[in-house]
Amino acid sequence: MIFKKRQTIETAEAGLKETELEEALKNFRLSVHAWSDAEFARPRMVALRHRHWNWRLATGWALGCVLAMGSISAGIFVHHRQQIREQLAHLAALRQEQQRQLAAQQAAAARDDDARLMAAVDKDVSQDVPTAMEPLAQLMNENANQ
Amino acid sequence: MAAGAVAKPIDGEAAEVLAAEAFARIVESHRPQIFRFLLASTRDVDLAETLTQECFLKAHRSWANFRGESTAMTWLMRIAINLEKDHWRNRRVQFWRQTRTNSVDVDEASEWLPSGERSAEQRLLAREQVKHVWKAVEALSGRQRSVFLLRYVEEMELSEIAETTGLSEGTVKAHLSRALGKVRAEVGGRR
Repeated sequence: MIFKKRQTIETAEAGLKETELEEALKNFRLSVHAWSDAEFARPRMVALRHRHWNWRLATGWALGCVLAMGSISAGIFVHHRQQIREQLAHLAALRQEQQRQLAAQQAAAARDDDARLMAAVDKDVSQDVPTAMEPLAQLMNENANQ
Repeated sequence: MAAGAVAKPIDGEAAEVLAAEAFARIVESHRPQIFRFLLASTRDVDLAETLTQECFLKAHRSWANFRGESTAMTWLMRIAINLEKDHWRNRRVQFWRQTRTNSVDVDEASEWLPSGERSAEQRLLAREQVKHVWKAVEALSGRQRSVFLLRYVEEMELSEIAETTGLSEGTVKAHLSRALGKVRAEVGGRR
């Protein structure tokens, strides 16, 4: 009994839903027809719109080209600048290496000059020792050797 | 005298004039329906107008090849559906060309109701129903939407829809059933 009652209620609800759906679909159809009829009757300037669209398209293309050119130019500029920077760094490194070598050569030359001067002084000093002092000088050398 | 009269064969120029007249009649009688279908499909008045013009332009180009195997309406509707499909496909690929859409939103589209003898409450209820149907239609796939609109806006028979869309009748029924299920859920779920 309860089952039958529930079934009746469900059937009634389903019927109600279907009626509502049918009504919604009918209203939808009428709405679309009303909208379409109103728009269809309205005069339209398609040519103007087309021209406007062309203008917009052309502007879009121009802007796109400018952006693309800008990006490419910026890329080339950055690449070029990097290359110059690398070349400058290379030149600086070469110059530094040359300076370092020159300094080393100068230092070596200075060392040789000192040695030569000392040798000359020694020679001159040894030649200047008087004969009377030679035994004393020998004694000093011996002491130094011991 | 009359019995002896022989039907004069139509020369090329006269045939062209006749064909042009026939096509003009086709345009006049079917243009509102094509526009309506495209308007409901796109919700964009300008786009619907442009696609309608393209549809008739295309139809005019291939008018000589139209054998009359299907009705002119079915033939034109098939062209319109293909044009709409092509439009969305092109737009997806070239989305950067025109990002702005002119589609009317659901609320605005629901404002349109026929002026009849209805109370304010009835009009409000009808507007709500229409809004929910639009929402459901928006969520449908392209094919489901076409089938749904052909059935419930253009009131075409299933066989006509099958012929227009190039689908079998069974497939049309399946699409229609799914579409209707979604509309039912949207309309029923609002309470």
